[in-house]
Amino acid sequence: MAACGKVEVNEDILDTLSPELQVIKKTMQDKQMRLGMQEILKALLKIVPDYENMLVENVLRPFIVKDEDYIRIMDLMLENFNKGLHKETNKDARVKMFPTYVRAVPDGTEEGDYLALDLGGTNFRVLLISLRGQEVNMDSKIYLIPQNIMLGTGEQLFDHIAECISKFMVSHKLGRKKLPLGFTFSFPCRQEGLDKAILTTWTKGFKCEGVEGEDIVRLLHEAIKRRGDMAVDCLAVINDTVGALMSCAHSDRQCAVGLILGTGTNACYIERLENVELANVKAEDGPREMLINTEWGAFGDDGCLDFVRTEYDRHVDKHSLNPGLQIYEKMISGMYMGEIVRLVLVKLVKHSLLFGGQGSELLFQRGRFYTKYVSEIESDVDDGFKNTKQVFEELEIDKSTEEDCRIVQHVCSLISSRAAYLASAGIGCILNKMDRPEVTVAVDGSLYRFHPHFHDLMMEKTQQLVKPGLKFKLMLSHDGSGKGAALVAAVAHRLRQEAHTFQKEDKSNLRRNLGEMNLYEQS
Amino acid sequence: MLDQINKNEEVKVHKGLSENLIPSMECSSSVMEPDVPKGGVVIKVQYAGVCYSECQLRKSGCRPRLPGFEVSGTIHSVCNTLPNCNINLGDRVILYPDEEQNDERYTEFIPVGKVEHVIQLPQNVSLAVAAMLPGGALQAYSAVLKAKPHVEKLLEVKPCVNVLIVGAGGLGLWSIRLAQYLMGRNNSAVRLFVADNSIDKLLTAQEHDCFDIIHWCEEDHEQYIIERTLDACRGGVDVVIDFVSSPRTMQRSLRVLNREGLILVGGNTMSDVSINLNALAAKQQSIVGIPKGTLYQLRQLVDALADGKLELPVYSVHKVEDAGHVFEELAQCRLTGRAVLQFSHTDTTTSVVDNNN
Repeated sequence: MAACGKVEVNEDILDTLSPELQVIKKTMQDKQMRLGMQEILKALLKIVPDYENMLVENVLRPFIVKDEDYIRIMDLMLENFNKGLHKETNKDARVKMFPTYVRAVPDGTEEGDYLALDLGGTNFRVLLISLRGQEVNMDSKIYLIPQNIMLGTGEQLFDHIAECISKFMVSHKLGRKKLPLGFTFSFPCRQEGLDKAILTTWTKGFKCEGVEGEDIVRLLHEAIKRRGDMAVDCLAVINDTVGALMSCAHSDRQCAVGLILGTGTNACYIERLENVELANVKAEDGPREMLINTEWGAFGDDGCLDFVRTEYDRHVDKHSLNPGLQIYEKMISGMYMGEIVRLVLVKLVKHSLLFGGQGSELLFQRGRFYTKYVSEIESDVDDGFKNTKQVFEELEIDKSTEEDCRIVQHVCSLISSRAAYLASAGIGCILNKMDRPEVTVAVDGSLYRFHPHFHDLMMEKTQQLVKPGLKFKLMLSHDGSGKGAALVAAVAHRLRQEAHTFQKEDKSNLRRNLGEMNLYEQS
Repeated sequence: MLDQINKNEEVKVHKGLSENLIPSMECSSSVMEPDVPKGGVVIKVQYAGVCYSECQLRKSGCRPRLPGFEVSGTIHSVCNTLPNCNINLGDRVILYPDEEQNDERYTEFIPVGKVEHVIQLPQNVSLAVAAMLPGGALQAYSAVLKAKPHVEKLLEVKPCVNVLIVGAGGLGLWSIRLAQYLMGRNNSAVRLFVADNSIDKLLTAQEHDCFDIIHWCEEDHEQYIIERTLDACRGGVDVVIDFVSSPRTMQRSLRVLNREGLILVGGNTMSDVSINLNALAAKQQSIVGIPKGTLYQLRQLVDALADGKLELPVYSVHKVEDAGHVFEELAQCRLTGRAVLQFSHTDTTTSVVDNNN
């Protein structure tokens, strides 16, 4: 229909021998007539309604990605991983593969009291964690971050954070106790050490000036110093993916991958030290491994995913806080999923395929279709559509039929399935790269926790994509940001203590050796 | 293109609202003075509280219920058939809200038939503050009074009772102040929690010394919100005062409510809510509608204010000409706390509304 070249005729439907068609055939033999008809048809196609969008299936088809395309995505991901790991190509790589300087998963001997901070969204948490082997006791408090601070200056943000820590110390009667602190900072960072993290770019709605390109541990310590009422020392900065992995590894030693599927999406995994060309470490200082924070959300920023992106993905990207960035993330995570569904529903309404062509003011409002609606709608199991109807009511959609409920549920399931399969491609890539026979993947995030089918969809798809013989498990990680941060701080604390005693031992060894040498020379 | 639609709609509603509010924006002609009803008085409105249902405010427009629900003013005229009761011209008064005064527009004069509904204010109670009493404060007072016996009963068997107030707008803030007034400012046995969608409103509520604030972010998953609520309210919630009472707030309240818990509903939502009665019975919980405040309770509020025992919630006073702007600020949560509109009068005898003030 689109091109005006040779037209394929279905001889079963059209009677090509009919007199009328014969007349047309004869007329078309005249070149002038043929050219004229082509022009007319081209113009007509521009005026008449887009027949292709006349059917719901056609509108939704772009969301059904072929199996071989998921394999292609997995291969592209591997290419991007390698680009990020190699020193020469890292600068231009979109998937940064940041070294985390975390060399080992917890070994169960971690002990002591630690503070943890968790910043990843509008809720900021301070935690007090007691570790005694396998036993973990946590006490936490949530502090809210108002919009003006999320968009204000870096100094305001860290002053607010320091104030919250202070309030926590007071309410928990900790006074000026010197406590080691682990910070779960869930934004893309380039780490130069366990306690030095430089924010590369804000995501997820934050935009404080004076922080991008700066060391956030330094900014935190400066804010604490400005207050002067605390003796808190930040020993480690980790990412929420690392937290999830560490928290799960505490009870499952086969855990080697951490995955976040929530407001954003990201993954970390255990890489062999020789592959981590960017880390500034001596191999002898610890295990021959290091956790890599992939920051895979940026996959596709160079356009390599454009072959599966839809017009809705492009629309969401255009109107986001960071257009052109975090392309892979925008197709999967909770911050954008609801909006993608909304755009599709609006299109269906405009073509009178849904709600009798009449939406509501709220349906047309950007960002108003919350991602949680997707989970709620897909949780409806029977034709009662109880949750779906409640969502319609909240969106003030007055008239809806059972068919509308079915269509909306179908739209949600296609978009959430695509997200699950895309995430599976990423996990498949990691599992194949690590090539370990048995791996547990620690997962956290609202999308994974609350969506009725996400886990099953991912299990199914990842199984299709991994090399035969590799076994894996997807496990929900509990409170990685709190427990994980404390565990890493515990490891960092232990390493620091060891370094001090090592130095002392070193000095006395040196004296002894020198002494021996003297003896030698004298005799 | 969608942006354009939204923009246009917003502007349209905004304008329309202002027109409804101030019938004579452009002309400064005299407003018709109503006749004194038989046996009654006419009140000249000086201040009006902005009455609205917290969570029903949407970006595209608010649905405020305008005076005569929350007004304070002075006595403009008195019917000469009235016996020598102590009401005089110029007395500073508030009016107990009644179905009779259901005029939807801001009018400058309110005729009152039942003079017993007029309450005179003591000298130390300002008109601006008093304007807030007949509406929000009275409803909040009624709710807290209804909750009090239940709280006291629970305190006989529990060391600590958790009370959750849903909505951190004017009603919520009044509830905090009135609960503190009735149960003691530093009563550590009763913990007040406030939940709302707006972080700004919650931070304002925190300044009123409630025990803790909980962010009920509408974008978050329900399970997340429940967990966060139970995390803050250790031991579960015993009493919920919900002025919003939408299907969502009710579902959340029921999931955090303890055995023998009580939910007080204001019923400001248009939608139906479905409740599992079996669960309710099994856990011996109750759902009670917040009764309409009585005249006597309103008098009690005035007295409590005069005595200085009742602390006020955060409030701000604005000129009535800025009403449209005030509604917008409230809807966007840029303005938190209660808002009171001041009617400006330059000439009290000929009662010309000077809009240039």
